[in-house]
Amino acid sequence: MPKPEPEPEFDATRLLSLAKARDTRRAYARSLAEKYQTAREERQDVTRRLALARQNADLHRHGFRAESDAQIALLEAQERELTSRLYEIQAEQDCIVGEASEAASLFKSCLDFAHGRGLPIPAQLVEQAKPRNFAPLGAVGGAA
Amino acid sequence: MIGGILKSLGKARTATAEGLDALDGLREAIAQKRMEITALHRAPLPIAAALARFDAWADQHATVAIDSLGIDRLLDPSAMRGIELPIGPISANAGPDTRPAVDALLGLVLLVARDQVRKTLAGQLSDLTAGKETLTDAERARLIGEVEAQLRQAEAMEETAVRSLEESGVAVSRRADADPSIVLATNSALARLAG
Repeated sequence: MPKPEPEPEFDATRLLSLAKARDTRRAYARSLAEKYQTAREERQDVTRRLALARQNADLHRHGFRAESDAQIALLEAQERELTSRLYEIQAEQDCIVGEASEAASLFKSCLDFAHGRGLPIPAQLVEQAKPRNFAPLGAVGGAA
Repeated sequence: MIGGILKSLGKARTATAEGLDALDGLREAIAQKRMEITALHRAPLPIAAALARFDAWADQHATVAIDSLGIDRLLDPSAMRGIELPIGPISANAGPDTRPAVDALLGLVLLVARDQVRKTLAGQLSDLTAGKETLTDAERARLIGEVEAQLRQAEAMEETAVRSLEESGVAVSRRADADPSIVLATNSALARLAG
């Protein structure tokens, strides 16, 4: 009677979920960077409008005073809110960038392990698993 | 009906919180096991083993010292010089190399006063190891092996917890230094390791 095949110890398809975890975090880090950029531009705009409102308030010190004071207060509140939002995004960004880097490092060590053991690398990851060879300078364009 | 849904949502939330707590606990245990392994690597040798090292070192120095003196000259009837301390080649910048002579002197001191030096060292070593656990190489290897097995089991339990949380839709970050042989283990291999 033939001996049953030993059960496999490792499952290289698990690399897919590791790659997904890495990519999700990278994508989130990118979206946070965009969010930060947008909030920064918004704050720059509010700061510019605030400076303008203060200038105008100086110009008509007697008429429309109440209106311009209210506008300045509103813009100051907006500026504070945007500043605190920027800090929040930055803190979240620091956290997710760390997580993305950890996920990438774990994926790399697992990929190396899978290579070392000769495990079949999932087709979706074959491209990433290829060793990167850099052609020497001047070699691009093929042989003459 | 809404009450039932809310109840099961509450249950799911509690289960997730419990799973995350368990994961935290396992990660603390893993950190603890790693510290234990580091401490075992650093635990001092017993005084007897340290003195055996001293004996080997002293033997070597005494032998080298005698060999370096050129005692064969004492047997040579035509020899113009007696025995001498070895001096290394003279370099233009640094002068004569006195290191071989110092080594030879140390070897001679150990030859004549080895017991006194050994006794003094034994006392000092005893003070240095007071209150500390000392381990022979064999004990160290055995204990490290045991703790490494416990660490591997804790890591397998951690990976099991991570997979279980992932299956229930909770995204959990794995440690960057997680062991690939655990992370890539099949579910059945993982269950065997986790015990």
